[in-house]
Amino acid sequence: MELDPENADLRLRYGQFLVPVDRREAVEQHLAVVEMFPGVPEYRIKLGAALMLAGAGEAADEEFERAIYLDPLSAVLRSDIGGANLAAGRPERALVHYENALELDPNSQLYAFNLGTVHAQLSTQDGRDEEHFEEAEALLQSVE
Amino acid sequence: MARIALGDLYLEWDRLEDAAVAYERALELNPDSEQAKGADRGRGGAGVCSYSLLQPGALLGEAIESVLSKFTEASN
Repeated sequence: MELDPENADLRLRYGQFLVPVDRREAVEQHLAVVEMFPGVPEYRIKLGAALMLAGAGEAADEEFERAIYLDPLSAVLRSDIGGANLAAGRPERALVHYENALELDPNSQLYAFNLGTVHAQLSTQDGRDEEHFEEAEALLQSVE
Repeated sequence: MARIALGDLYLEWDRLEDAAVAYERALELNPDSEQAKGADRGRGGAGVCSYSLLQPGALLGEAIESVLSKFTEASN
């Protein structure tokens, strides 16, 4: 990185590497990329994911909102935000973003599957929840 | 994958027959997958291992063994 400090891909790779080692530094690397390329929503989602893993949930949500503002009709972005929330152990928030992704791309088997698996997880998370079960069953049955 | 996830869902909810159908369907749809091969090995083994309730995303072979072991327990 000393040789190529504006290489965003390299910084992101380094940031990903740092996540299990030094989460604060991981955030710094992601933040540097966003500062270099503030208009790229994907980088803001990666920063948000790093922030969540560093325990900064509110700051992460702000980055996700900024990413959505930059590309409000992107189902891929919503799905990525859902995935980041799911990875950070926030299935309820993941659910909202996966729902948005499926609304934006209603024919997507992938988004139906993602949403179905989150409903499945929530169906037994705190006792048994029939509504989540029924949603999960319908969505997963709809995917071939 | 959706059928496996569906089977996992039914298993979590103790709907064993539905789980078995979902896993069988997954095997029909993708018989050459590594997961399906795992299922075949599970069936051809000398004995059915007893697995605890599966977590989502577990191997299909283990999932089918789990369902079979629960059926066995229920019938004993």
